[in-house]
Amino acid sequence: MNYQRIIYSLSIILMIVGLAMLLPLFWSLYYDEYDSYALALSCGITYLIGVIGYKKTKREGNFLSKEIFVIVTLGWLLASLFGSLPYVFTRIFPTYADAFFETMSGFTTTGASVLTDIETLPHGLLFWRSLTQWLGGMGIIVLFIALFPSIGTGGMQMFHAETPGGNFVKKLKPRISETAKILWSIYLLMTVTLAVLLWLLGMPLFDALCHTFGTVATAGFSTKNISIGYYNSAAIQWVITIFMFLAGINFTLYYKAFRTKSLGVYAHNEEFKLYSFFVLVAVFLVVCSNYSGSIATLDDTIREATFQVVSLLTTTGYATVNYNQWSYFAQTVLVVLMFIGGCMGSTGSSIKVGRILVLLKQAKLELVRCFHPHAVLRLKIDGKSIGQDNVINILQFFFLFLAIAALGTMFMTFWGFDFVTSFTATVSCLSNIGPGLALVGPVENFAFLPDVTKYFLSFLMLLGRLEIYTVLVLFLPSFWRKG
Amino acid sequence: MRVIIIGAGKIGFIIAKILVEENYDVVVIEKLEERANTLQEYLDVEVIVGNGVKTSILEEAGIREAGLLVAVTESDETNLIACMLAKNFGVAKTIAKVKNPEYILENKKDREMFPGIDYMINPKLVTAKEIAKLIDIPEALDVAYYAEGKIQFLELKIPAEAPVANQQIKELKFDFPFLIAAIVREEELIIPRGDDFVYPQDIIFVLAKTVDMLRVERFLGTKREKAERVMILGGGYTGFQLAKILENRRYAVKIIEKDYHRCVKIAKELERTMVLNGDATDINFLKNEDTGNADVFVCLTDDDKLNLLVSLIVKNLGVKRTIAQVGRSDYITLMENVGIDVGVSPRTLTANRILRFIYQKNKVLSVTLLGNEEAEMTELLISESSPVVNRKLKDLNFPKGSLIGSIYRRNEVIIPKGNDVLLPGDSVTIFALPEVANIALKYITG
Repeated sequence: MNYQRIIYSLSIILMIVGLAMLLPLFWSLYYDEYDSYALALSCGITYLIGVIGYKKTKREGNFLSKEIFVIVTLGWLLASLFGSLPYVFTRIFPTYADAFFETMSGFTTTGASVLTDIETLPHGLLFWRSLTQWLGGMGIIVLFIALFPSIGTGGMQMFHAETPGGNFVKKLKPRISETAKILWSIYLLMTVTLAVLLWLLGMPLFDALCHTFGTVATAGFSTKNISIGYYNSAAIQWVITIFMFLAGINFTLYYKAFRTKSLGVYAHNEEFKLYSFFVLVAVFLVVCSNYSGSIATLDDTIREATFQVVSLLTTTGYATVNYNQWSYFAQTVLVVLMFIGGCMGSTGSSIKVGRILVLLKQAKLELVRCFHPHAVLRLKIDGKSIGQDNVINILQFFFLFLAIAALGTMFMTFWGFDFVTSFTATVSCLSNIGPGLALVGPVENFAFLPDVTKYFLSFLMLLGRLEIYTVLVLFLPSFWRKG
Repeated sequence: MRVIIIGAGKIGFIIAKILVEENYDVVVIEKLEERANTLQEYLDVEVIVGNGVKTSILEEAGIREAGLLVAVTESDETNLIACMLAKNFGVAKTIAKVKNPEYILENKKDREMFPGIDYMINPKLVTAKEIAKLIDIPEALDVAYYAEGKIQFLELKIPAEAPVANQQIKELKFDFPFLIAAIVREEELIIPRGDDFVYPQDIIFVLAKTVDMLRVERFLGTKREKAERVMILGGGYTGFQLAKILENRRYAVKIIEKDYHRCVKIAKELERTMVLNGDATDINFLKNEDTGNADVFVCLTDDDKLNLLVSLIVKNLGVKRTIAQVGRSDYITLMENVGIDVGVSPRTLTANRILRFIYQKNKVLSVTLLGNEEAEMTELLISESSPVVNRKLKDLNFPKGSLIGSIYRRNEVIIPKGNDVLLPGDSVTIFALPEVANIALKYITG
């Protein structure tokens, strides 16, 4: 392993994070609040360390596969460590575990918070908190590839190691940096559109930006204690519902639709169709369950159901109602959605609809094979055959996801929490959603957890965001052996 | 017109034979002396021994006066190069047989990039398409379409229990017009008159509007249940293409292939077809796949003997209908006698298609060979100058052994009676025995 190359790349990531801190600094100066010195200091430290690392190292030769995994995983870890500096300097949190948890929760677009009273935070910090999600949504590494095309072939592997859906997201242009640029452009366009819409619907500009970041990154940090429910506006809820849904679609489809000037790509994309199907079925089930015996109007029931369903399916985690009080059936529907997630190549996390699609199709093939032992069966998505190695990769991903969820739940219950809290907190963090049920429900927060579980859940968030393999590979002893 | 044919295999032979009968000047270039000699013995053509891509050979064949070049050797590259050379010599129309599907130019844009060749024909693709037609109309031994698909022409076998069996043709009265154009009885072709009888086991050629054909078939008592389950033996290019066509038409298709890697390859390309890796001579394997319940079993291996054997096995298991590819077309009758329902020869089909294309631009719209090349069906455009224009059919002195099967006028199809009149612009199908085919065509075109 060539440490020069690794430090070089990590330094660039730090520079990006450092520069990003200028934006909250601007808001802090604008409102003239006490966090400006902390932000300026964090920004200076992060950027300076980045620049020193960048100047002192040389990038020679091509990246090895191993180095890619180290860069991506450590890149995210460092971003979270340095990203927590503003919280540390302002002493917002009682322990460092809280600051780290909050930052990791932001970057991984989880949106689980340890803040008990969000509204008391100064604007600069609130903005930084939202911005971390936006950077993490499309991916820091993807941004790095877009800004530094010279990274070369290593960029391709880094892209796959970071992007949700990994190998299954096809390049849009021959060069990976061009693809990264296109993805970030679509992301930027979506961000601007939503921010303007929310602003027109009456949100203050600051709130509109923060909630836009939380929506298009499918992250879920709000600047209000009761999340989107604060605005009490049906229009705002519908707009956010729609954009959460849009952010959960494979971003490459937007580009293809734009290139072909038709929506045909959606009609022919099986993953998108299944994704829409899941939303419709889940909304239907939740509405049925909630409407019976309820005093709310059908309009309200549908809007609330759609919002929570889309929010949890896309792994956003915004809430407009306390679904802790919903029926067990409706809650179970939401928990099942937590295991599905968005489409491949979207900002959503969890297992992803594309993987579920492969799992379902493979299940059918295995059933057919039972009574046609000689059949040669090939799994196809959108008419294209999926290789056996890819199918195994997905099956194995599914296993690891469930195994980690099971072990995680066990770990949480060890600290004395009830099963529902432990299970939903684990799955929620692993799927980068944010809220769970019971003690970690939509109107609760993670502040009461012991420090060790906060570090543990932060680790799960990273595992989930980088889709397990990228992080887990570093734990293989043979990974570190020479030769 | 001078026609140059390169390659005197089965396809070249059939084309040369028909074209000679149609009074073309045919020159055949053949590499093998043995084959050249055989051809010389049987047909009134000029045969040159040599390679068709050599300019000196082409000049010797009189390429400068030729209006058409047909390249049907075993080698794709030879065929393609010969066509391109011919174009440079100024030959108006070139046709190449191409085995490798990757060379086939599918759309018009591709063809413009490759201007040397007017028509590419792939024998395997032609075979797959023809078999698909046969499966669509299971009772038909052969199917052809005319007048942009509005007229259907079927070769049918009269079953013993058919209501029309043992009746005189003029007694067969039905609301929807149809025409029995020919009858094959004891391997002899008859152009029937009104007082001829239809007997069980006769093979008849029926012409009717495509929309009416179903009713006509019911009236004749030849209609069978539509096939749903099709099994194909052999996952080569023909089998693969056939499966692709059939799965698009919503048949339940299974394809059996021995080679595992080939199975994987076609399984990737096919949508709904089930690809089975196994040996079709293993009866347990066939039983396990419920072969007996298949409506049609198609054998498409390159081995005639294997095709015959498997056809017999599956017939025994209860398959309703078997279709087998036969390399040596002279065995077709024999194979049909021992239990195969339809034998299909890719070479005959290919020759057929090429002839159809040749006729296309000489007023003649298309031609089909019937039975064992014993009669031709020709589609022809009536011009202003034709001597038959504006005369009632019953007044025409049409040559014996030929008749007008249908008239296609302004998007309408007429199955003609004696009082009908031919008008300029009509497209007519003419049915004729080979020896009178030319006389009949001349009679109409003048």
